[in-house]
Order: sequence, then C-alpha cells, then structure tokens
Amino acid sequence: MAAVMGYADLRSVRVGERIQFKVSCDGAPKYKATIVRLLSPQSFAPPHAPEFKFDVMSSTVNGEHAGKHHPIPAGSYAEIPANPKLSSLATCTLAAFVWPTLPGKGEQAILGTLDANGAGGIGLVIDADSRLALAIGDKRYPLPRKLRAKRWAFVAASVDAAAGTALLYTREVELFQFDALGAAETRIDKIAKPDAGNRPFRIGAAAEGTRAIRHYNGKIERPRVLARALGTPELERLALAGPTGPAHVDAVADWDFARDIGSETVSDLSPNGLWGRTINLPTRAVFGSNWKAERHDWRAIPEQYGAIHFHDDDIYDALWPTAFEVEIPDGWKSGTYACRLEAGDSEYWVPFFVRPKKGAAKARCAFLVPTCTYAAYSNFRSRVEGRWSELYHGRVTVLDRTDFLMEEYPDLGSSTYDPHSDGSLTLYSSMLRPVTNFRPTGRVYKFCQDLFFIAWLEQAGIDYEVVTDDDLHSEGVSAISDYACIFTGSHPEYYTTEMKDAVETFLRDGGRFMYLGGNGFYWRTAYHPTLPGVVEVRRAGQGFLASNVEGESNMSFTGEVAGTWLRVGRPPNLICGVGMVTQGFDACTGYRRSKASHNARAAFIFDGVKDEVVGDFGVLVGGAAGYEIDRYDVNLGSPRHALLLASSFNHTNVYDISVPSFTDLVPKQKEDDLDPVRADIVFFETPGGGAVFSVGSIAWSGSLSWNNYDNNIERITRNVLKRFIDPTPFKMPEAGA
Amino acid sequence: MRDREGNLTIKVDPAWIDLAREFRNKPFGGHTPALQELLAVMRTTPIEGRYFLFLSKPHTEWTLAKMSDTRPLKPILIGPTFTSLEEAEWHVFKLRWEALTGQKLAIN
Repeated sequence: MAAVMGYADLRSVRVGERIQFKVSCDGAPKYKATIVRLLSPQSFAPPHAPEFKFDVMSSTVNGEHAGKHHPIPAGSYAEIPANPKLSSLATCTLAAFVWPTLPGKGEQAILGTLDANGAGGIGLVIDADSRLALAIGDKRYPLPRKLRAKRWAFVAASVDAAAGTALLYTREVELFQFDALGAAETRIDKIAKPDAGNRPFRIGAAAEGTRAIRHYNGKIERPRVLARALGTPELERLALAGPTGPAHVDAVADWDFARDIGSETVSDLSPNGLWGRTINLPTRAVFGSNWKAERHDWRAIPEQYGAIHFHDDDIYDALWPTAFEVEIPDGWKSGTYACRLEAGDSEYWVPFFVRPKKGAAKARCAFLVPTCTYAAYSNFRSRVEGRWSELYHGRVTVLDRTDFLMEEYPDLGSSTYDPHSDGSLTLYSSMLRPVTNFRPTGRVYKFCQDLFFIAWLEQAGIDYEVVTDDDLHSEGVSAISDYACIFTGSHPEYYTTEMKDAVETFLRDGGRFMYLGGNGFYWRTAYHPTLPGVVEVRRAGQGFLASNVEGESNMSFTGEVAGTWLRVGRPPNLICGVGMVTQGFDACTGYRRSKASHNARAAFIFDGVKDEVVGDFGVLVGGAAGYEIDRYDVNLGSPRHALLLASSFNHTNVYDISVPSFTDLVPKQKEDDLDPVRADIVFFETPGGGAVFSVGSIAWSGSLSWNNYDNNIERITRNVLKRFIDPTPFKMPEAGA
Repeated sequence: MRDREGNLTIKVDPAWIDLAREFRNKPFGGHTPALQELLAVMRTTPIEGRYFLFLSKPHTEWTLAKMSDTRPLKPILIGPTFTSLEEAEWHVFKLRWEALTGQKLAIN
C-alpha cells in the first residue's frame, strides 16, 4: 500500500513570498501534487453541511513528481563537533549524573564518540541488561549492578590506556529517598586499546555515520570528560559533590546544562570551549539530582535544573529535502490553501494560509487561524492509542487510514497531550514533520472544523482575509490592526503571552473581537524564541489532563510560569467574557435566551431572530452548544457590564466526567440558578469603542450551514459581524444599563 | 470498582435488560447512573484489541474494526459496515454485553 506524506516549512505566507514543501512517498514511484484553495471541509451530507469544495490553483508544481522515501530522524541528543581534544582520548575519565527512565530497552549511549560504522569510539552506555558499561569500539565492560529506573546515579569509567585497565563506578545520589544504593565498582584488567576517533562527541546517543542510534531515555546532568584516570576516592568525591561547581581541574570538557536552558546550546565550562548543541529538542528546565523542592522557577535556581531529559521519540524537524516550492502569485486571495498529495490509494493534505502583501489588506475582517493550537495538537496520538478517549467522548472512536499513519510511522512523534515512550509527558510539539490531524478531511475538529467558517464566509459573499497565530505572535497587534474585526476558529485553546497582549491591545484600540469557539485562551503556550514551528506547553497545576512534573512549572523556551491562563492569573474571561467549564463530545444542545438578550444593547445581535431557543440543531451531534464549553463567571474576571445573552441547557452526563473541579458540580442553590455545566453567549463593549462577542462553544460553527444557512445561528453570527465591521464606535453602557 | 491492574470492573447481570433497552433507545446523550457505570467499564478496556469504527467512506459509512492485540496498533477490519453511527454504537454495545455476561442480548 502506498503512503505519501508531507509538510511545509511555513504555515503562513504572504503573496509574493515562497513556501517549501517536503514530501516522502513509499510504495509508489510517483505522486501527484495539486495546490488548491480550500472552500469547505470534507464533512457531512448537504443540505445541513456544505459540500467538500476546493479550487485548483494554477501552479507549475501541479502534476506528477518522482516519489522517494525519506526517514524521520527521531530521537534527541546533544552533539559536540569533532575536536582533537576529544578524538585523542585514551587515558581519561568519563562521568555524569544519570536518571535513566527505560533501562533495559536495548543498549543506550550516555556519552562518547561511539560509532557503529567502523566499530570505533569510546563511551559510557547502559547495556541491554540495564548495567553501566564502558564501551570501547564494539567491546563492552559492564559493572554487574543494574542501574535502576528513575533513580539518580553518578556513573563513571576511569580508563588507564597505558596499563590497559579500567575502573567502573556508580553511586545513587537521591536526596529524598530512603532506598538509595551506595557505591559499587568493578575493575577490569584488560581492556581494548581506546580509539576515540576523529568524530563528533554525542551525549544521549551513539552514531552510525551521520545517523544517531542507541538513543538514551532519561535525564543526564553534568557530563564530563577528564584528562586522567581517577581513582575510587576521587570518584566518590565527585559523586558527593553533586552537579554544581566550577570546571574540574582536569576537565577536557565539563558540560553544564544549567546554562542556556532556553536554547539549543550546550555550554562547556572547560578552557577548551567544546560547546555543542542539542538535536530534536530534548526537554530542558527539568529537575537535576540536587533539586531541593525550594522553588519552582528554574530562572531563580538554574543550578537545580541542570539536567536534560532525552527521549528516543523526540522530533523537531524531519529534515526532508524540499520537493518543490511555490511563490504565491499576485492575484491569489488571502485564505486557506493546501498542497494535496496523491499516490495510489494514499492521499495527504498539507494546509497553509495566504495573507495579503504587507500593507495591502483590504477586507474589514480577518479570520484568526489558531495555528498555535494546531501545533499543540500535532499528531494527537492519544486519540488512537489512549485508553480514556472513548470514555470522555461518549462514543466509539472513529478513525481513518491517515490516523493510523502515526502507528505505521512511529517516528512521526506525538502531541503535547501524549506521553513519550518512557511515559513522561511530551512538552514540545513541532509542525516541521507530517501532521496527520492538520487536514480538511477526517475527524471534523480543529482545522477541518474551522473550514465551516470559510464555507460560511464564501457562501455569504463576505470579504475576509486570514491571519495566523504564528503571525500574531511574531508581529504583535500590527498583524491584525488593519482589520475592524477579527474572529477566531472553533478552538483557539493555546495562547502565548505575545498573542494575548496583541488581542488585548487590539481591543483597547477599538477593535472588535468575535470568539466563535470554546475552551479558548486556556493554556499558556510558548513559541521557541529562535526555532520556527514549535510550541511548548507545560500542564502545571490543576487541569483534568495529565500533568507534567509538578515543580517543572516554568517554560524552558521563555522562563514564564506555565499552566492554564487561569492558573497564571490572566483567565480567558478577561478577554472573552467566558472561560472553560468542561467538555463532552457525545451530544450538543441549544441555548435559551435570557432577559438580557432583549436589552437594547443587544438588539443588533438578535435582529430578525424571534426564537427564544437558538442553535438546537447542527451537524456536530445535534447543537451549537457543546464539545467544549465556556461560561460567564464574574469571579473569574468576566466583565460585570457584559450581557449574558443565552445559556445552553441539558448537557449530558459525559460533560460531568471532565469537569476539572468538583466545586463545579455543587448542586444549584436556587431553582432559578443556571446549571453550572453550560455554554454562555456573552456580549460586551470596551472603553475604546470596541466590543466582544463570545459563544463559549466549539460546536457553534457546525450549526452555521444548517438548513442551507437559513437558521438563527447563521443570522446571529452575520448580524454581529455586520455591526462589528461598522466603524461606528460602541459606547460603554451607563452603570445599571 | 477497579481490579488490581487498575481496570474498571463490574459484574454484569444478564437480567439488567433495562440498561440495554435504555442504551438502545438513546446511545448518545444523558444516561442513568447505572448505565453510565456499565458504559465506563465497556469504554475503558485496554486499547489493544478494542473495537472502533473505521471511516470507510467520509462521514457516510463506518466499518466495525478492532485494534490489533499488540503495538504498534493495526486496524483489523471485521465488519459489518454501517451507514448510521447509532446502529454501529448499538452493535458494539451488544458485542461488549456478550463479552461481559457470556450471553447474547435478547433484544435487537
């Protein structure tokens, strides 16, 4: 069976700029590429859902291309370029603190110049029997005691090349556990002649030519290469001294991972300056062996966060060669595009977004495409492999062939929702790899669902342009300040500080903001300061999803405190008027209007809408309110002057499973209280003449097309957009209005 | 209840036909606490070997499938093919009922 896959170097590109496509093709000699403009998603049947439509764009890349397989080089490590100081290693000591997570999963290289090609090099490994071993070429000299999973140990090998002997030493160095093992050592009388070889030095992997193999899983801290063979007392002193302090007097190299935590840089404290860099983004800003539980911010005590956690399934950039590139010609409208790839029975889509040339925006409104959220969800493996997915969705899981590409090609990596192979949570997620759930087909969710907005805008003849989260993050408010109104996708869940600041500035300047989704502005997120296309999410603190390690609570990319925006002190309610309550995917429902919906301030919203219940229909399991829902809550920052226009009702018990806090399940106090499990529609004005309209539900967009777009959800959305692009300023209400 | 491996367990009495009828009438939506408990057990078995629906025609046709018993997971199409998600959900419920009780459900 053929399998074609691809990705692009960018998500957002302006007219006149170029975008590169990377393609791998298995099982077919050729594949076909077609550049299209997407006008709707592949979803359900008309008349309640739009037909799947796209325009084929004129492009020289359209047509057949030779297919070729490209591997995905998953697995992280650090590499120091080949240097005579390291290639001449003979008599030496190799040492580090290690916290292995999967000892016994084959041989794993801790550090050294080991290379399977030519069987050269010297290094420290954990062998397939979980033992520390000195490796010289293809020879292994183990220490009988097994290294234990998730226990800090100092490990070292002293090599006396002249005598042909070696000493292996280990000692567990746990601060808080009662079961730490003391020292163990073994002497080896006859070792092979060391030949470090003129090759790069790697930490966390061995080499096979230019490939990395034998990836280590777990943490490594303060790896060192010393110029002489230390004896037992000296090794014990090093173990007990811990990972801090200046360079060792005999250091050939003495790498301190507590430095440059936010970067790819690996710093050497020795005078030799043997600096390196990390590959495939191993996790930084993690506890070291000396972490004392005093603080949770690595910036305050970097010396206690001086470890790097390597994984054999880390992936940042698949590094495929460019198959072809496209220069966006004048005349292509701003919008949602894709490169469609076809090979035999295999189909793959690589979406991208086209913006107008700088300064050439013409539309009054823009769709703010939630690419930051798409990145966090890239290759959401738990939907296929996760044990709890069916329970909290309340229905049997539906999957297609593209979903199973993650199983066929495990090196595609995971999303920020998934565990690594060693069980630790994935904190970084990149789009520089094929992303199986970023497409106009398959599950109608995220990007696929957001195309309902595009279909609606197209059929309504509304002039719009697109801006992505990537643009908002890098350009700030100037990315959106040309527009009177911006509106979100169905699920803008992941927001960086820069993106939030930009939206707030836009609103203060009189901008109008339509939040047409649910569970928005929820998790603080960070883009890498220099590497494109990758986000960091740390699920610190309360949340109903798997948390990362408590105390590793600050972003490595930026240093910012991580967690939900509610946890860090800027709840979504401040911008949206509503904040996330819960989720459930089995059934959606409608909203019942409140008395406030008849307030004169809201007259424009309900113009032509006579129904008291709205959105009790939709292609997303029955209603406009559901999937993930948000409600108005003054205690969490919802503006007091906001109008709570309508609230959903009768959500199913599946929505109770995911309520993050039991306090949300406190029974109603009075008969006329609203059910706490609800989505709210909210409107409020801002002091600068702007306004916000929020629907608090992911499923909203699934009702727009109902009955061939003749319905109250479509009418409300169009009414709001029409008024929001009108320059007439909104006025803040008088007190009590 | 959970067993020693952490699996949710429940001893299903084949006489609980009222729960099966409730599910038949409304596979999606609010359920009674007793049915919720039964569904929680049915929906949290180990992913290896679990039933799922393979999207055989976009949003119009679903084929009953099972995950392989080992990882990496492979889809094993076993059929039948459905044109209604409600019917597919009911079919899976019946299979799971039989696995839990050792008896076929006496209702369609």
